[in-house]
Amino acid sequence: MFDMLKKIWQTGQVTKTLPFEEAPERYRGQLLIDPDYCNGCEECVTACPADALSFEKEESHLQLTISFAKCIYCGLCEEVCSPRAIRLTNEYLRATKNPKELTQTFKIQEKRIPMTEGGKQ
Amino acid sequence: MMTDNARTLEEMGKELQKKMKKVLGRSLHIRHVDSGSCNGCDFEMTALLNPVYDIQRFGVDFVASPRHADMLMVTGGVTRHLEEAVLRTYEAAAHPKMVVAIGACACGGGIFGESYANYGGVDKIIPVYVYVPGCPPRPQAIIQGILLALDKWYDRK
Amino acid sequence: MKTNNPGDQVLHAFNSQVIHFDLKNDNHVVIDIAKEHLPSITRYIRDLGGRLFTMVGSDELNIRGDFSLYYVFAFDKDQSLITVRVSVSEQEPGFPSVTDDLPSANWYEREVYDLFGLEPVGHPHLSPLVLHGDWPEGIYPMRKDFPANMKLPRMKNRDQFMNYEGEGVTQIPVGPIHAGIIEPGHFRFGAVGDTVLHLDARLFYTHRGLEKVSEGVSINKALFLAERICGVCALSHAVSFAQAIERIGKIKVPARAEYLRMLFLEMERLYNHIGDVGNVCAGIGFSFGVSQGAILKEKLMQLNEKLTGHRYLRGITTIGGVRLEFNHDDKILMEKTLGDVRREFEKFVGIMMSHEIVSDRMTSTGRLTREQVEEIGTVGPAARASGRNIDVRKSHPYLLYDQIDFSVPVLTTGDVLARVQQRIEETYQSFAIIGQILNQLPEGPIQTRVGEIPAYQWDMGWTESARGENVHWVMTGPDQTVYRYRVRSAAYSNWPAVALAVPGNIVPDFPLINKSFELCYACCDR
Repeated sequence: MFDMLKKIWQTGQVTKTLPFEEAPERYRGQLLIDPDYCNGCEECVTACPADALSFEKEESHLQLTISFAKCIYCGLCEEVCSPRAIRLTNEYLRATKNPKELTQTFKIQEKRIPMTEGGKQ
Repeated sequence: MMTDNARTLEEMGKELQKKMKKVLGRSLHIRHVDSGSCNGCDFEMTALLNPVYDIQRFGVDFVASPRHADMLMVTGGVTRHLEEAVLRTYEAAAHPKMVVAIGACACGGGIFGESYANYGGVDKIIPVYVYVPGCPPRPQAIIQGILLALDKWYDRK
Repeated sequence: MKTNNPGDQVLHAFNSQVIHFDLKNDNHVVIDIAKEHLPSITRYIRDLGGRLFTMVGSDELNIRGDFSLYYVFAFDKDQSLITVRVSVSEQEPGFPSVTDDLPSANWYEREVYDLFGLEPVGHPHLSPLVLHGDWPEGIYPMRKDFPANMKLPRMKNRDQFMNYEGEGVTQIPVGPIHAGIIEPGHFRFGAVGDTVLHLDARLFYTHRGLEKVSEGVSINKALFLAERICGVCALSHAVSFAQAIERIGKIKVPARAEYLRMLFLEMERLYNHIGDVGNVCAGIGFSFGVSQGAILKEKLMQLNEKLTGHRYLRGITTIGGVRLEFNHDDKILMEKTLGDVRREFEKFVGIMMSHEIVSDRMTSTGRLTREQVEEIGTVGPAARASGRNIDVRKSHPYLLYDQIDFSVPVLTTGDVLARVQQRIEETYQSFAIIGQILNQLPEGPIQTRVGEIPAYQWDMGWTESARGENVHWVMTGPDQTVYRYRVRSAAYSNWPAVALAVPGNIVPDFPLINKSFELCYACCDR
């Protein structure tokens, strides 16, 4: 009995008073997409294991859609994105009341699509 | 969905704690339902009860029966074999039947998607209150999901 | 090849029946034989000391015009494998069952019947397993002509549970939704008073169709599916899959990557074992143990997250290497944290194992004998606690485990206490292994370029996870895709052991016995 009390006393307080501290630097959290850098090469769509990313052709532009309901935060899209339009942050508070917020869309300007087919710069 | 970066995380933590006090004037009872998860999300939920996160100090607890529960936390994309269990648990749960979908599978099927054995998302079977994406979400993100659900419940009143 | 090895002996004894044989590598011979000879060759291999490693059914109508069954046997002493392949035609979808001779084949044969419609003729207990009884009869989802996303109506349930006659036998149904935060499974106890006579377990509630979903997807995507078979064996599954592909593609993984894989595989074992030692105390209401174990586990999870970016070590494996930086600071952090955890763990275990409640409740509870574990093919700590000395890190070395000095603890009593003690001793071994890896970790590249993976080739990858060996069998398809993927997890081999360990104990000890095996449902159900 006393050995247990002693051990508990030695362990001390481990409970975090504020549970919302920042995640470690290497944590793969929220994706940030900068549509200005995107060149529409679709490498990220090919790489995504969860089919969370997709490109649709709209009238005047391309549209990049990302579904956080599917995303597994593996970071492959960031790895293959040569113009560095996708970045994973260590932000992890992503809960939402609105299912529409689970999908984000971005306008990609047509002019940024490379002329050569399937080519990356 | 995105947090306001202007506030420091510490400030946000304090604010959330205050909100917990206000909203949790009485305690919140949660029932966990595994609808076909890989058990990653389940273990993160278990972690909430460990001495480090110790969610019980806020008056939140996981209970053994849906009949005692205000909230259902569902992990997994609802398999064919668990559809009935999910429906019956939902029916048995007490009002207001807040359903929190934990993890990518529960939010929208995740990597497994739809198949002969998997429906690909909890909201295809029962109404969902709050979605917590991630594979799995960190324990803190699950706490945030609980808070959002309480918010939504209060706003409705 | 060594002479007189099991492969040669089998080839010699079945010289006239063997249709064809070839060598996958020096230690693995593949024998084609007609299906009517299956029972005799199985008996022969069993008597030579082979154990069933995995069994795979595969729809190869498009490739060779028939279904194939691959029975893979492992010889632990000779570090060798024998695969027996029999072909089963679509017109005559029956094959002789070997379950009577080899009880460990029971589930595999039932699964092949459920998913492919190949009937093990003479099987003693052919009832629905993977697909529950409300699945329409005569439709087999793993056949290639079945579309993966087809939804089917529910039929009248064909599932049967044990019927009890006579006075005083109570049937107690439990699950699939349990009281705690655990995974779904349905258990039916036949009990007289407090004592369990018989336990029926219906599993496969979390069957997500993972093997079907993986068919036709690219190898790189399938790797992420493999990671998501199970939350707490994520890395073990990912490495098993990667190894199978690397064997098929003859990819040489750089030494640093292999060391890093070993390093984090041992981390996975550590956080599981330490968490499980603590968690088993929940089965006896010993809350001191529960919280001490949980604190240490959480420390390891946070270390994982700092080092790899993921608490469950997902996303660090890639075909041909690892996706992971590991620098000097990481090494220092790891040494310091693990040093602390080890010291705390020693103190905690010292107190726990000398406490009366622990020895009272755990001694002689849920006992499995060595004969039982060998007969039903139990693996991992559960088998070693009953005296069965199997560990694929030693018997079929992978990565660079043959360069690490460690021992495999083996206990004999086979009760709950032994399984807990087993984990404690394995934990100390893992600390020692990690120490050696950190000292020996070579510099160099962590990934190698992966070329074309040949189509329609198969091979296996295996790892010893915290629950036992995970064996992944993969056949590649055209254009770098997966054609057939069969995951045999440790839990799949060990669930039958739970049903065997419980009878004779009191109902309140069931949670304790179940926790002492600490099996995943998700791993087993896929």
